[in-house]
Formats: sequence, structure tokens, C-alpha cells
Amino acid sequence: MFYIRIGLRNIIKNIRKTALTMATLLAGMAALLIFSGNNSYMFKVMRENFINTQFGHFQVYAKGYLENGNDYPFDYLISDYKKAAEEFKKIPGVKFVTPRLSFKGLISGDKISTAVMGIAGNPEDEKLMTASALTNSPFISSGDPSGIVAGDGLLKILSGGIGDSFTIMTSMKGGGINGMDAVVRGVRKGYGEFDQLGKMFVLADIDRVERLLNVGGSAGSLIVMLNRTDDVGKTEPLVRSLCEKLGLEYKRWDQLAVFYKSVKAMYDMDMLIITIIIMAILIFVIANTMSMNLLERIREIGTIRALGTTKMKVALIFLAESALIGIIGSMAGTAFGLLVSVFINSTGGIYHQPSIYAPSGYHTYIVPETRSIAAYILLLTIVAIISAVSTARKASRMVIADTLRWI
Amino acid sequence: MFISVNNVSKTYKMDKVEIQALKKVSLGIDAGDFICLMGPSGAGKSTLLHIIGCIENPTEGDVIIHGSSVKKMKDKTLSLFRNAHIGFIFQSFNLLSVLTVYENVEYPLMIRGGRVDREHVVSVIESVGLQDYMKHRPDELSGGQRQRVAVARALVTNPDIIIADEPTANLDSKTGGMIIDLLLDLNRKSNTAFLFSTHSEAVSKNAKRIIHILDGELQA
Repeated sequence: MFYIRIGLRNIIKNIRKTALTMATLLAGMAALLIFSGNNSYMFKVMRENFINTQFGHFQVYAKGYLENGNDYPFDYLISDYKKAAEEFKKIPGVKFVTPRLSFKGLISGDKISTAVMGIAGNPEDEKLMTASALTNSPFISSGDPSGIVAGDGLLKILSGGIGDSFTIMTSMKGGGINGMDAVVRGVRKGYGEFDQLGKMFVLADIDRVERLLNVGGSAGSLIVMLNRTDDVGKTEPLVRSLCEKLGLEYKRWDQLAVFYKSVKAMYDMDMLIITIIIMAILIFVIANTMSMNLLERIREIGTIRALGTTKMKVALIFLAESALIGIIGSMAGTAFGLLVSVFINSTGGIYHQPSIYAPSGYHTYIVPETRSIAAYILLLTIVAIISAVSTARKASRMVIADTLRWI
Repeated sequence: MFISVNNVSKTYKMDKVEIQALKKVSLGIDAGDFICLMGPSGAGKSTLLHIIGCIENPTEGDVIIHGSSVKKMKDKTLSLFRNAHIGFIFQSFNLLSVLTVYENVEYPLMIRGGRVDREHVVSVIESVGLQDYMKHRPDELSGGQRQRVAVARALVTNPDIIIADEPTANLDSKTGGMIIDLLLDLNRKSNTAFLFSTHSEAVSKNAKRIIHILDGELQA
């Protein structure tokens, strides 16, 4: 407390000299807070998009599917998936469980045939999941087994639109060819010319596709959707034990979202580099301030040493002062950063161009996490202390008689 | 005799030049002494005071305080030893500008750690007549008042000896005289020894004992 009091008074006394250091800390902290706050929000949005439109929180498969399912999809289907889905629905925190069945084939119109990569699901559940990626169009429903949702790229190739009829042909489980009539009920937005998935995308009712593939009552996977993503860790043991009981296997959303993870890793690396650059600048600025500070306090050091202050305590005085500069500067930076965040958020946030996972583009806001703010304040304080180590060491090692002669 | 200076020499090396500030100085100080160290600038007064005050090591010889050789003490022990046994008054007062009068006087006790006896600090401040200035900062005080704060700070630990390096040099003669009177008064009331240096004959006449130093040697 004593060292903090002395440190605080020295900062106040030399406020003009420490102002530049404080301003640098303030700018550094605000930059970290804004950048990390935006990243944090953006990745939350991206994560929820991945989960809600594609993966769910867990995907459950027949045992062996993860290893061999790609090569032999019909050999690794969940038979009687409705019964299994009922079991998963009983897990606390589960919002809904929906089946998925994927298929590949051809879609033909009057003039053109092209490849499709389709997914079949429960129309009502799929509406919840893919609604955000739809254009303003209706959706398929359970009472309309021939209805499909098609990618806008696919419709462009087929020169079709809502209400148009096509034929989908695919191989059945046994190897024979089967076909179904399909009427376009909805359109899934793509993100432009390079959206390859949109050029092949078809979503159909699972009951109809089961018949098409001749796999009645089976699904390729079950998507388990929770009420809250934060509950994944808590729920996973229950999912695991149920999978073991039913002879199934599962993957978490983050194990499936490879693209999300690689983008996040890239942003995390950017954040790390920015943090390192800011820290390096701060080290130089604070070290310089403390060094100048030392020059002006040489006689004071001699005096307190003569009065019996040990070398360690002299060092502590400088370290405490620097730590205070770090705390005050980073807290001021937090306040400034939050103000800037409020301003940016109130003007509509930051717009991001359309991408594969957000075909309409989206706005992100700056929502810093309390945990990140605390971590950055701690980091900046530690950096401030480290910056003062050399000065503190020099101060503590000064020869008392020499410092008392200092003019 | 609780302080014994035995054949102390001090040589400063400046590049290739050696300057001998003290030459085999021996001196004894008893409890309650009031000693004036006189000599011209460069005679070695400050060096001798620094060595007796344990803030500088002699090149040769030793200082024994209460039977302990200062030379053998490590820095931390020496710091604690200074805090417990020696008080300092400096020519330029050397008060900590960011602390109040009370806090400056309290400082030597604070660095010991633990609880500080506030009443004791206040009574020491009262003994130098600054009870109305306890919350003032040094820059709000006159030169004489600042030196009285320095006296209180030196006294607060009840040291065996107070070392004052030209304590009146930055004061006018009247204020300087008042400071010496204060030191004499405190010396009479306590068993604390005082060792101070000065150029002034007027200041030295109050001393119980005057030691002359010239070119690093004590004069008979």
C-alpha cells in the first residue's frame, strides 16, 4: 500500500511526463479491446451460423460411418432413426433432433441435366435450420413430398424457378436407378459465381428420399440441436453414453467445422501479432518514461537508501509505479475502447461482404468479453512491470554516496 | 565509545587519476556527543560522514559501531542497521517531495514494515515545532521548516547518532542558528550523538567538540 501511495503521487506529480505513456497505453488497450471485441462477435455469429444451418451441436452416425461412410454410405445408415431420435430428445437441454440423409444424382429439366448433391431432412426442422439462408420464398413441408429447395446456382443452370418441375435420378441402395418428381418450392441463396455448392444443392423431404434410395426408416445422421451452444461441454458426456448404448458414434460441431476452425486460427494469429506489436511499442515507451523518471530521482534514491530502504524495496517502488501506470492506462483504454464500441455499434456496426456462410453479408458489432478485458488489463500491467525491470534494477544498484552527490 | 573509526582511508579512482579523500583517519564517538567537523571544501568532511553513516565503504580501515564491523555487513543488513542506528540530515534537506511532512517523518518507520506508532511520529513533529504543518508538502514550507522536517525524520527512529552534512549551508544565518539550537536542545534531551559538518565558525562554536580536517587528515 505504501509503495502504491508513493507511486500514485509520483504519477500525479509527473503527470505531464507520464501523459504520453498513458496515451500510448490507452490507445493500445482500446485497439486490443475493439479488435478482439469485433472478432469475438464475428466468430460467435459464424459459429452459430455453422451450427444452425449445417452441423447442429452434435452429429450422430451409425458406428463405423466416420471411417467408412464416405465409401459405403448405404452400409452405415442409422436404422430406425426415429426411435434413436426420441432417445436423444430426452437429454436435458436438447432443442430438437432431426435426421439427415444425403444423396447424389442427376436433376433433369426439359433441356438440361446436371449433378446434384442433395440432403434430405425433416421439412419442419430444416426450415428452422436453413431459413436464414433462404430467399424470400416458401419452404417444403411434410405434406408435399415432391417439394424441394434448390440452390439458386442450380436453378440458374436449369433455367428454372419456384414452381418448376424436375426429375431427380439416383442410385438406390441395391444399385438400381430410381427417380422422383421434384417441384421447386424454395430457393437457397448462394454467395455468387463461385458458390459451387449452390450449383448442386437440393433439399428434400426425408420420407420421400428414403423411398427414392430404398432405405426405408434409415437416416445417414441425426443432428442434435441444443438450446445453448455453451451447453455442449455439459451435454457431451450424455450424448457419448447414449451413443455407446445405441451402438452409434458422434462428432461435435467444432470437430466438423474445419473451415471455421481454420479461419478462427488465422484471426487468432492476427490478434496475437497485433498484441505482440502493441506490447513491444508499450515496452519501449514505458521503459523510456521510467528511465527518464530515474534520472530525475537519483538524489531521492540516495536519500531513501540512506534512510534504510533496502535495494529490493527501491526496486519495488519503481515496479509499483510502473504497474500503476499500466493499470491506470489500461483502464482508461478500456473506458475509451468501450465508448468507441458504443459509437460503432450505434452506427450499425461493421459490414462484412457475403460469403459461403452468410450469403447476404452481415454486420458485426464490437462486443468485448469481460474475460478478455480483464486479461488485457492484466497483460498490460505485466508488460508495464517488465518494462520497468531494467530501471528498477539500475535504481536499486546505485551507489548511495554517488546519488547524494548528484546535482 | 560506541563508534570507532579505525585508520580509515578512502581513495576515489577517476579514470586514471586517484584522489585520496581520507588518509588513515581514526576517531571515536561517544553516546550524547555533539561534534562539529570543520574544514574547507574538498577536505574530506562529507566522505568521512558518509563512511561513519555506513553509506560508503572505506578503501582501508574499518568502522565499528556497537562492536559490529560495518565492513563485514551485507547490503541488506547494512540498510536495516542504518535505519535502526543512524539518522541523516542533508544540506539540501532531501525530503520526498510527493509526501507530506507527516509522511516524510513517518518514512523511516514505514520501511520497517508493520504498524507505525502515529502518536510517536506526531510527538517528534511537535518537538521540532511543525505540528501545524503535518499535511503540508515540502514545497509549501520555508527552508528552515524543511530542515526541521529533516531533523524530525532523522530523530523518529531514536537513532544512536545523527549525521548532518552541512545542515545550515542552505539556510540564512538566523535560521541556521535556530537549527543548531534545535539540534543542541534535542541532544540535551536525548542520548543521541550528533556529528555535523560546517564551514561556519559561528555554527561550530556551539559544539561540545570540534574536529578539524584538512586534505583528508584530522588536525590535532
